Amino acid sequence: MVCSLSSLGSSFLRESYHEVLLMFNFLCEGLLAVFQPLSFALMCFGVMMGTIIGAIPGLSGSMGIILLLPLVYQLPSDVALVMLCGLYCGSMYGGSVSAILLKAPGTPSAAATVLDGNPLANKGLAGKAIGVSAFSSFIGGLISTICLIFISPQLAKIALSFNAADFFSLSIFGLSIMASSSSKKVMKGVLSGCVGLLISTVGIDPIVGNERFTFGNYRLMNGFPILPVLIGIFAISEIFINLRDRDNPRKNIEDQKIAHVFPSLKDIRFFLKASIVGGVLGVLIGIIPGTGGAIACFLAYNVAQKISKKPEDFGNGSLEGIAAPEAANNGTTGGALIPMLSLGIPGDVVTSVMLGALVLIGVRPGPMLFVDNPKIVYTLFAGMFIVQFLMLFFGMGFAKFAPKVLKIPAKVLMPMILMLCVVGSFSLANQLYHVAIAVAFGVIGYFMKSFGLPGAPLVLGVIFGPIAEENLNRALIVSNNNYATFFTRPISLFFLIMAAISIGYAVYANRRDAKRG
Amino acid sequence: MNKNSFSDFCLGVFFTLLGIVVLVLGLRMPSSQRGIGPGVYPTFIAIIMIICGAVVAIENAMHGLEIPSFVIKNKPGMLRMLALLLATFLYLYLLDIVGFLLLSPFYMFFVMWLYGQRRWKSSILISILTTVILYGVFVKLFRIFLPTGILS
Repeated sequence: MVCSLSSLGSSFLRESYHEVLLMFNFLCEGLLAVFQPLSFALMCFGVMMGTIIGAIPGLSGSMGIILLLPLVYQLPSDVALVMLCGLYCGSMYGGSVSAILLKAPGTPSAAATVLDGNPLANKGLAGKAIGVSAFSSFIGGLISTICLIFISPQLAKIALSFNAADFFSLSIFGLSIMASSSSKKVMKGVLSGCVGLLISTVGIDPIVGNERFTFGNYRLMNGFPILPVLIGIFAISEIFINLRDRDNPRKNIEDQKIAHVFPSLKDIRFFLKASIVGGVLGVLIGIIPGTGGAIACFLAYNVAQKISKKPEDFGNGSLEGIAAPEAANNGTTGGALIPMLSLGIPGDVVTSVMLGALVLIGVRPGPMLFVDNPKIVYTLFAGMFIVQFLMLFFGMGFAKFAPKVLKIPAKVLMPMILMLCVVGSFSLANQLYHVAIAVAFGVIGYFMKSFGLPGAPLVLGVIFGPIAEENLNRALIVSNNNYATFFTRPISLFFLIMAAISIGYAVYANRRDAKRG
Repeated sequence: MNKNSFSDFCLGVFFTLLGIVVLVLGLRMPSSQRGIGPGVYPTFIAIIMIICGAVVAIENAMHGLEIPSFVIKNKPGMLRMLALLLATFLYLYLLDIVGFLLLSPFYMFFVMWLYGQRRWKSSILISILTTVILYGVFVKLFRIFLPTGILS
């Protein structure tokens, strides 16, 4: 008995050792891939673009990814992936720059940075505020990357035992969580998701080969391509809104000298605790699908205030008040990538757009990615690691140019973005029809925003639609059309219960908030 | 009923009707002996749509049925949007005939004008530069052939 237990223990240790060695090996290969000239150059480009896009109010990380899609389409998948990661992390940090200088967060994730970043800038210490933000973003990003490297392969290993019924329920869970968290009114989120699922059914059905909702139009037989849909919903609709509201004046930036960007050792020692706490909280929030930086930054801000030795400084330019939310929103990046990579469920809006971009270049995130293509996964891990250092480097460097970038008027920027959208959607298949689809979805996206319908569940519906249908069909064939299979499989039942809880809780929260007024 | 809840009521009704149309079309599709036929999945989506649409409509209707006066908010903004939409479709229609290099500067100039850019010289310069840069990047670098139109 003792002998068999010890042999079991030693085989487990041997297996774990082998696994760690393999992981280390893959990581080294990933690092080599990341330092290839093209990968490295595009990673730097991604971080710079992300920082600039994040800094400009009205542009977001998801829009940045969409604008880079034509380029993504031309690149090897691992190179494209690290560039997108650079953009994602860069945009998270970039949002803080306008929060500090303009008192207008560039992205929702930087909303809490305004509270202390702007007061510090008003004291003439904008450079210091940006420096603290860049350094904390680096700490948060590093923590999230380490968690990403260690958690996602384990989660993927669990997901390998899923069958078709489990994957169908997982898709429902992913959609429900995005629908319930992306809108103040949960039903609108669900409706948006339904529209996405409906769009995915247009064309030849994948099971029998029947035409669905094509109305005799041969162009619709292939369904709606995802790139023009993404461009329309996230970019062109934003251009319409910007044009409609062009008379609303944007805040002007005051000329001020940006100096002392790199924080002193004394300052780092002072805000390091808040950065670490913010980073860890960011990862935890980021892992929960459908949440994201906006929630994490306020939570981290509150926690940092509670544990601070100088809580009275919060709101008056506290370094900890900048460090905690900035570490938290960058902590969500790796956190949000965990469910996206290992389960195929995006953690936030930007990762849902990133998921669309990956599908476009033939990379299907999910547990099989770790088995079929570990090179891509570990290149991403290595890329995320290096991106944090690049973000720190470019973040500090960008501080001096930030006031100039923020002065670019929307009347010049938006038409350029529109041209990029037109050419980008054309580039997918060299067809003007795709541009027309993008414009049409831009109009749909505009009306959706006007009626308070969120765009993220729609995009997720378009992506998950075929996966859910395929798995529904497979599960029913295996079970001889027995629908009970979705409730008798423990994993499937778990996801369905979680989906019901997420919708149920959101409905309850809506009603509670409505009663409170 | 305030204006917001009226628009939500309309949204609910719209989705309920859309769900009914999809349901009817889905039920007409052929069925399958094993697994699902082509109509089952759209039918499933339609049912959720009808339920959620009805909930949104009923929930908002319960606040009262006072229809707000129909006034277009920000009329100039809406007109600008309409102009952009028409200009874009006209641009797409003419793109194959005239070509990207010749037509795009005019389109971009017009869009900048819509956005309120009134410095003619810089508008012309930015329009031409953006077009040439995009053409260079996409055609020369990515090997994507943009419509050449009369230049071909």
